[in-house]
Amino acid sequence: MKPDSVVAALLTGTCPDAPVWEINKAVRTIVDGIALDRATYVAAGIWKATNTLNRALHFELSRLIGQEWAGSRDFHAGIARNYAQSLINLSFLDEADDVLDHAMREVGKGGNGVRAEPELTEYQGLKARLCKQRFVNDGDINYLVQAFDRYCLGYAASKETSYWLAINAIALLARAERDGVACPSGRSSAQRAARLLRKMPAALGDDVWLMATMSELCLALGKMNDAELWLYRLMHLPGCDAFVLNSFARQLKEIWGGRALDGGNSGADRLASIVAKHQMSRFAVLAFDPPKTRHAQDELELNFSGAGSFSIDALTQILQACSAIGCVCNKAGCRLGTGFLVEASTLGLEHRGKVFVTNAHVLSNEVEGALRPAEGLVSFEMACIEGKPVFHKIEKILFTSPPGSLGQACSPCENLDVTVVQLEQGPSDCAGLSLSAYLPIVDGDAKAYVIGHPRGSGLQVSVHDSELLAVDEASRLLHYRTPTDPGSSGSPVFNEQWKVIALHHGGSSCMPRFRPASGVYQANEGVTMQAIREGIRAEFAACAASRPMPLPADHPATMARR
Amino acid sequence: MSKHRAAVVFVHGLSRKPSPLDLKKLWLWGLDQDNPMPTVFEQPNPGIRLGTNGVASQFCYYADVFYGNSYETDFQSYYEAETSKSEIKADALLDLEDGFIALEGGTPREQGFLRTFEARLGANLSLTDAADAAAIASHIQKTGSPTGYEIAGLLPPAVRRAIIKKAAMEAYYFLFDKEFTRADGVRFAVRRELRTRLLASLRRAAEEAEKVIIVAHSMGTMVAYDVLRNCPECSFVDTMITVGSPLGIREVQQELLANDARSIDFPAQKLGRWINVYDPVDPICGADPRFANDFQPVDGKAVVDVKESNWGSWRHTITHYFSGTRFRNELAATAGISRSAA
Repeated sequence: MKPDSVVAALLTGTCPDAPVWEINKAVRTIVDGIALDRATYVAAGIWKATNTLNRALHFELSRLIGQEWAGSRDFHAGIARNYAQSLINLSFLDEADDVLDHAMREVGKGGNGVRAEPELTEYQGLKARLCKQRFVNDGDINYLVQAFDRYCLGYAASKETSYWLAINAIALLARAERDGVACPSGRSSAQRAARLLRKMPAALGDDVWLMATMSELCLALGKMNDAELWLYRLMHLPGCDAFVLNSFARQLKEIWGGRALDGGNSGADRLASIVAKHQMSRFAVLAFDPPKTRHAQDELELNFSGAGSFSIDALTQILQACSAIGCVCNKAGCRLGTGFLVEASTLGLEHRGKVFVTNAHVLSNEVEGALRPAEGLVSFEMACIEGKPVFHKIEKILFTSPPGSLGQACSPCENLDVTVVQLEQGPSDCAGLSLSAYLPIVDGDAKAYVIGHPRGSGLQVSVHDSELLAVDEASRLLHYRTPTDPGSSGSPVFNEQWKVIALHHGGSSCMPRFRPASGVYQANEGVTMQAIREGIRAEFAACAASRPMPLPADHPATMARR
Repeated sequence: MSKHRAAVVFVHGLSRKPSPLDLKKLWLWGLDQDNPMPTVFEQPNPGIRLGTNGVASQFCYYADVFYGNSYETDFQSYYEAETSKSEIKADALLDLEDGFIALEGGTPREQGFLRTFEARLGANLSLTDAADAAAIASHIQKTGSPTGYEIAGLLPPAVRRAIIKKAAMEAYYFLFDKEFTRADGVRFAVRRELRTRLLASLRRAAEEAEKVIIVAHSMGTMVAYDVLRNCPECSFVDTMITVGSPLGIREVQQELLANDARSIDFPAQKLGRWINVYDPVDPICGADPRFANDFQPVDGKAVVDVKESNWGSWRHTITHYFSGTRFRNELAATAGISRSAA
């Protein structure tokens, strides 16, 4: 997609089908344009762009735009809301608090147009969500109580029409009751839920948030059949995208304590399991908690539906592989991409021990929008201590090559979209992933599996619809159908023996086919590990060649030095 | 596009088969399975995934020459079945199809071949009462040298007769290049047709890969040997692995003898290595399943016989052979595939 097209798509509220580094460039253009080209970059377009980026879970990019707007242009209620939302999702909670306080003051002044007033309810809701997030992060009960109070105030201020505020209050109250915590309320969560049920509109139409509210409401009332029914209705709405499902899944997990894969029988467990299975079939990923699954191997009977069955040996290999797959985070702990450990020697590096491999558009000092290594951290989900991630700093870059366009035919050693780094200290007892010596033959049956952190989630194994589609003539790029999402960038791509064949770096519904075929198709793309090895070899050979040769001992200059 | 590093050409054997696509899937499944029959084969015994390891595969299919599109649809016995009836049924050996007419006339040589071939197989499947199958198999495992009596004890008489008849007819039509008229009226000069098909498969394999490997089963081993020894236009094959092969039967060897040879020999001009895997209780292999002492070495190249018992009372099933550790080690080494489980 041309750069101008990506910008235009964002400004009209359309999520562009472009690799993330092109979206990064477009956002940079927009950010620069906010200060320099006021005629083009007007509030309406910026509001749509930040809305779109939030829905697509590109929170960091949305934050950049919101920050620039806040610093150089007049207050806009909708942009401020999106900005605050991005900050909350990136766990910049104090900054989000400041933005919301400022926004509420501005709206309170009046004179910000007819859109501004309704945003007050949203701000109050976001304030409440802030407190909820602090409670989830820290376990501090005071934040639970504050969140509850704020949701109640917001619901009242909306004249009891913003039902999502009410259900959040009910969920928190139910959580307090389960935890045996005093939360001044006057009524129980069940009483509040019954009252809310009476107030809910008779017809919900296609409103995804009303559907989600109904499902959660029935959960609160213990009406599990109804809760499931509303959830299924929600999941079949066209507007039910990954953003909606992720939000609901997060609520089920963090507030209601639902566990999708532990086989629990609570109402929240059942709903969480339904959401997880739907995500698996629709977005074709299976999310599981690798540390828990590791301890439950003996009882493992996972059937990756539609992908055939996996032997216990294969599942063991998968879990072993997970221990070497890490998440690239910023200093706030926000997950921005995936990467994996391999022995340096398997890449032809002279460095001893293991190195961490990810995309250059995720981690680089040169690529626009990439995290600078000095700002980056890597965590390994399988090495968490009591559920808390352990972060490893990046010591230095050993090799990097910037991204090119998807499907691009170029020199086999260029535009590999890879960065190989040395960590200060990686996880102990981790073997690193094995690389395959060969690429699979594309015969309609060959598979390509991906394990990564899509959309900043926990480790997910993508095996559904995992057909290997094509290998380019230079054996530099692979195309596969295996579903991925932003955040999967840098994931290892495995063959059927769980050996790495490529580094995942992007996807498109209009991916150019490899020559000699023409046209486009829907595909994801990875850079082959053999191309990366060759690129490393070529760079180090070039460095060696460019080094000045030492003068012979009998050269006059040498002798003169003596 | 650069060539694949190796390509395997599979050549199937006796009798009616599943459709070409189903047969290929079944054979590849047989190779794929990790740790099959752990009571029989030493573990770990990881599967061999040819495509995953960059090795191409092709199938030389010829069952349609005799049976048209009347494909076998019961695949149960390809899996870890135990009953001889289900296994033999899936090898479609119980019925004698139209077209396999009783031989009337024919040259004395042809008549002699049929009598002797049937007698050879009959001697392997001979005529005494069934003894305890497990005891027999155990005895064979210990002694390593079965007798016809011992093989006989594993199969019912009617089954034995059907097997002999069908094997004899297929071998006869091929070795004497007879014209076969299929049930739908299509005619084939059998030996010429089967040669043409295998030569085409080998040519395609040579075009797409640096190294060509043949894996041939049962009657398919006759076709493979014939092409390698008697077809000058055959492309070079790095390794041939024969399994469950009747090439040890003298009458078969006589009909495959090259014009320029005094005795049956290693096809050294077109073949690098030949590994012959046999189960001593596989009746199709006959009483002489080992070839090293039959096929004259040439240029230092000789057949390598590998004994590997599989399981059940019908030891001829291809997927049983494919489960074997020794077979898999040979194929993996030839194709350059690592056999480590992780």
